[in-house]
Amino acid sequence: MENVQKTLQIFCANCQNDVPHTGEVDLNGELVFTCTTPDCGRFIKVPAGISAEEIHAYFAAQRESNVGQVSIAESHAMLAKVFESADSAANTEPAEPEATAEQPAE
Amino acid sequence: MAATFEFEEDNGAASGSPAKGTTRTAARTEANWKNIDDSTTTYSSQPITAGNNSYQKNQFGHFSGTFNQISAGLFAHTAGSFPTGCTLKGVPTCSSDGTRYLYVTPSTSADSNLTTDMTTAIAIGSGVGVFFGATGPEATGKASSMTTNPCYTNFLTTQLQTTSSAPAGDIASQTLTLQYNEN
Repeated sequence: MENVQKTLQIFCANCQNDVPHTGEVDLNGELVFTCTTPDCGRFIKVPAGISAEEIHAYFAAQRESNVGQVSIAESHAMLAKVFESADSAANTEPAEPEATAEQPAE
Repeated sequence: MAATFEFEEDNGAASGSPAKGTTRTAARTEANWKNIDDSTTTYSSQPITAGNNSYQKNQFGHFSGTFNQISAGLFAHTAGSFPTGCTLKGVPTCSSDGTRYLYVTPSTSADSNLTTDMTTAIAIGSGVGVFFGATGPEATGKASSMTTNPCYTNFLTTQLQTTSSAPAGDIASQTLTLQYNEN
């Protein structure tokens, strides 16, 4: 029988999207949900002893708290993109003007 | 003239209503997440074992001196990066008395009231909103701007949470920024 690890769609602050998270119980009995996006690895810890409803409410609250974060890394990437687009615009040769027929003067 | 600002910190069992820490320490110049709830013990003597969490760090801003109004508060992690297996959790946006973080006796259990993932350094403009009020961070009457002198932010509580994959040793220095307008 195939061993498939179950996942939950939870909002990841790093990915800024609802993405699959695996779930496990750590040594302290706390629930740890880990983002499965490659190179992310961000996790959400939930205290032991709270109900399923409270856990889902926590997921909703943490989504609300984290949606829209703009990372410093994104700002650096945007700055590089602005310079890159300015450079490419400066290096583009001006287009040939369209040929127009002269209107005979009346 | 200008407002005088300092970070302060509450520690110890929750006391009073609204709750605050038993001990309040003024003029904090650092915040170390560690395996003890105080503002004095060297962090290296109370390390967090991989898989555990730090005690909550309950700091807040205190304004005095000369000012007309303090407003437009934002709080965020703005520089530094955490290693694998470490997540910094913080308070949600405070937009009313009802949404301010309420002090609880610090512990190493994951605090489900800290819903903001502060692990990645972000632009301060996308930080969580901070409100201001008289008396203390625990008090009701928080608002987006405050003319009362002295005044305080809501609690800017954080907790470092780890999994067993957290590496041994110190984490790098992190910068947490509180931004506000003063006039």
